[in-house]
Amino acid sequence: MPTPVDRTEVLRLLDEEGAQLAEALPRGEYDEEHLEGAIHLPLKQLDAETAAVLDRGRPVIVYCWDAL
Amino acid sequence: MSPRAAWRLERLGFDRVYDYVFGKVDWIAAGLPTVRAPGGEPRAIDVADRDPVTCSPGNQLRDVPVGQTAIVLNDEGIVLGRVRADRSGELDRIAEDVMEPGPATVRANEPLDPLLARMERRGVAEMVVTTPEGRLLGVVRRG
Repeated sequence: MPTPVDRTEVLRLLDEEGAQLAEALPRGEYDEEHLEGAIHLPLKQLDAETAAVLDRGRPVIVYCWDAL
Repeated sequence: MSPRAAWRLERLGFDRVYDYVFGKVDWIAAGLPTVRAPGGEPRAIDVADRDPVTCSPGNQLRDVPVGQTAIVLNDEGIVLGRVRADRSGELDRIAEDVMEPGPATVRANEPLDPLLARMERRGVAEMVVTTPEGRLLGVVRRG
């Protein structure tokens, strides 16, 4: 089950556990602005092939625009 | 959207998946680094003084650097108040006793031009910028 996290925990995961950030929004929104270091992994194209850019040995933090 | 992406990744065999619930809005509001396309509208954090004069509630004013207002912070960096720049008659008092409590604040991603226009209309010389939790990020000054 994916774990919901807040900003404090995101920063800890990045700093201490080498987590990867992945933005699930469409290309236009990613290009407009994304978190530093985040890769683009849009939900609509998310499959085994596109997810192959991720390192399976590290935590993955997924985000979109907000909680809505 | 991010919960569904997180579930999808788990289905694809990733076993340590986290959902940053409040996402990009929360990150930007906290003034954390992003990559932005050129031409976006300027924000409060873009022009904020990131190193304003600060003090603790228990600081005597004689120990607080002069020349600017001083932002009063607790040990967590949370904004508690503001002490005006002219402190000459109150040097023996502590910040907590003379501060303006709870000054107005904006988030890092507040659009700059409308903010400056509002400040001008209301005769506000400076605005404190904080994270959503109230932690000091900087001060925007007009002019």
